[in-house]
Amino acid sequence: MPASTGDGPAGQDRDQPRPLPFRPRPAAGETTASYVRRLARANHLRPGYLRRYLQDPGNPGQVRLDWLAILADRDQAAVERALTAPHPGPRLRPAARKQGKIALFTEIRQDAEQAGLSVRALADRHGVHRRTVRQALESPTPAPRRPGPPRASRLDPYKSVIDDILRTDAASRPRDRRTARDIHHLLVTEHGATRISYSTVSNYVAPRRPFLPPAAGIPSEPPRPYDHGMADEAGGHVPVTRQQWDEHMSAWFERYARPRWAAAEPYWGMWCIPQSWLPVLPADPAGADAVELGCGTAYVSAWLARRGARPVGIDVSARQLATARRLQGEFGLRFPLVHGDAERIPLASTCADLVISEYGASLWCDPYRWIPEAARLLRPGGRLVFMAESTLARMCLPEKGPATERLARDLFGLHQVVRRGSSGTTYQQFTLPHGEWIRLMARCGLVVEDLIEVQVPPGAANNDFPEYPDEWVQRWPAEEAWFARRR
Amino acid sequence: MVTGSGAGTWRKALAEDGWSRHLTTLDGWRKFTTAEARPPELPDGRQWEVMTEADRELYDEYRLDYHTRLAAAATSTLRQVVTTGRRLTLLNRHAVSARRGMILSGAAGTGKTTAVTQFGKTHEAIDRLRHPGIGDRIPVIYVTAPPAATPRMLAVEFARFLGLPLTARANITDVIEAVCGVAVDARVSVVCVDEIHNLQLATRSGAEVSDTLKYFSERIPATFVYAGIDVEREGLFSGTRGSQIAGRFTLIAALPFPLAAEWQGLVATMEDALRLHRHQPGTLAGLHEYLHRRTGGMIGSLSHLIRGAAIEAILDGSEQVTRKLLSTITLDHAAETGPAGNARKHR
Repeated sequence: MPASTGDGPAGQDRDQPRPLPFRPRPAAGETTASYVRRLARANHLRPGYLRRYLQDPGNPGQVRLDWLAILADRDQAAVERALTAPHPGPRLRPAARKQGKIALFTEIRQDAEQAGLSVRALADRHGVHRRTVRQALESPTPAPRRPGPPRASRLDPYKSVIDDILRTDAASRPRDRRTARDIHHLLVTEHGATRISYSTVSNYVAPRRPFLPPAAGIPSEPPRPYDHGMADEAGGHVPVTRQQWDEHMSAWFERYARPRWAAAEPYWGMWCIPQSWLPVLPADPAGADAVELGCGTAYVSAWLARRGARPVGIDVSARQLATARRLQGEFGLRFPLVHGDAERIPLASTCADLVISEYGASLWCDPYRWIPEAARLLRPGGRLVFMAESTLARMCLPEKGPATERLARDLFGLHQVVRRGSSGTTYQQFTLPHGEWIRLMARCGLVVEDLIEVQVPPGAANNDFPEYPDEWVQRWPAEEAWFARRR
Repeated sequence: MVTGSGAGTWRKALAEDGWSRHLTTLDGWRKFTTAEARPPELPDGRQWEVMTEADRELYDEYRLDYHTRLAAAATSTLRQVVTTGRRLTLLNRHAVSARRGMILSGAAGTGKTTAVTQFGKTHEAIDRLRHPGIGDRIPVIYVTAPPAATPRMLAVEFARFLGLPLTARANITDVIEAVCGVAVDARVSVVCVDEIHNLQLATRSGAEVSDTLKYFSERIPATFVYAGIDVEREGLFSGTRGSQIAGRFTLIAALPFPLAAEWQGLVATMEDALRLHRHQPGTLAGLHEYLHRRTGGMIGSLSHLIRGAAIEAILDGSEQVTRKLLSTITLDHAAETGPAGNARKHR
């Protein structure tokens, strides 16, 4: 019968090591530190802890091999033999091998000159093939070795995927390019490359990146011929807009992109008003061909794609589009993104059931140019939906400072609005008086069905657009959404 | 004549003495679970008489050793513990949380530790049969709750059983991490915690130890078996923590034996295990009523009494256990002063 069992003296246990529960075998030539590390890991101990436990009190740098042998439950001599065996050194380097061969050639040549031996005799004496002897007699320097076949790599099946990614990214600014870590993550999650390590990917990507030009069809940065086309009779606002977005505003707006892509319910405008309160998207966009004019980071297109529509995003800023592409990869949503101008859309006529713009073309493009283009794209019965700052808000916004209760601008002739950015740049935005909007759309075959003057719901917050104070938006609409249908 | 190989067996068995003192280490536990009780073969009367002095000394020494740890008898409590434990380990095999456990509770000397360790031994044997030749498995952990325990002390008990090196620098987090990691890797499926009455849920450290045990039971996919003295009266089931324990654990009561057929059978089994030269078989079976009075039906006391008498019989050379010899053996205080003990004095 077992006797009383609670009598293991703790102090004694601490002094006397006992075999660990898991005891991996020491590998020949392994360093002691490495073996202690492996032992610790196998037993869920911190390596440093086990190292300190095994520390020789007289010689703190040394591990007590007798204790290590007990922990490993092995013969001490065997442990010592394994851990102190000389490491099988690195293979002879090519340079050393070459030196050896030069010496061999010299000896063969000396023997041939002094003893006048035959090729066969020389081959026997030096223990080499007669071919080698003939080579030595021909030239004192050995011919360079034939390069072997290229080494296979686990990365081989994924190299084309990586190259595609690098080519796509070559069109983006450096800061928008996917890093080796991003690419590794992508390979693991989307291509099932579980046995590829990060360093393998990194070693491939780093030297390869500079050599991959952008793929055909994806404009590189900056697309000069395109700029030429844009500098037209409209007063040249397109290149200004483009520059403003690429250089100043996209950096600011990038931070909004991801949460909007991730949002389950769409939300709109400066006060992030949810779709349930402000139904900008049609009730059932599934199956519709949609074009987003001035898509920016393309979150509206993403919402449409997720609801079963087939969106195409158009934007003038390559940098915004790069963000959109990155998010496409991240969210696994793919739809075409076109780098272009909403005033001259590179798409065929009557290709869309829905043309939509939230603070895109609706704000940044000349209505007299983009409304006809939108009408051209729409099939009969197709809808045009666009949202921007209200005409009233435009009139109440002075050159500087927040919106006032006074009308600061004329309504008659309201068209271009020059704004000054925080970085001192000036740029142009557009709007029209309501009657002019209706007349313009009617001329293009668009029938206005609704105009929502957006009332900000109680509790909605706007931290980023201080030009519209809360008291103002309680009384007047700062934004409006137009809904029209193609005849 | 005693053969050389026989003497060798005894020598080897004597050299391995002392394992039972380290049941709470993996090494000791393994030896316990693999140990077979080897009853010494009794040489016939002539051989015994012509034995040389040295051989006889060795032979007696081995028999003394054997009688000090007579094999555990299969009592009804032990059978209940083993069957319930088997059922629970099977039930818990696929449980991800809130695994069921078992608490063995009863007065001192009712054979709780024996039952728990025998269950552990059975489970280990079954596990070894299922997974032959795999040395890394540790199917059973057996620890005792230290008195006035803190969570760290409990964690250290686990670590000591597993053979993890401990220094004063080891903090509780590291110890718990290592214990849980090793326990999961080693496929621990039964954890026995003995002397659970050392846990006082009313005190703060006791409650913390209980929480630590609970944490272990969440991390280690094993069936937990607790054994302790009268735990239901010591407050292990009271309060919020207690009610959770009460909701998850099956309680098995280890009771003193009534004077019935099972007691008689128990006495007979122990008598059969005796290895004495002049003992009259059936003597003890006839004395079962007397033995019940002396021990109050406690198997611990009974074992003490019979083993004590057997050793006395070897030492004094009488080689038989009689009522007279039994009456000279002093028993534990509880048995001597309990109702049964008093009854004896009044007679």
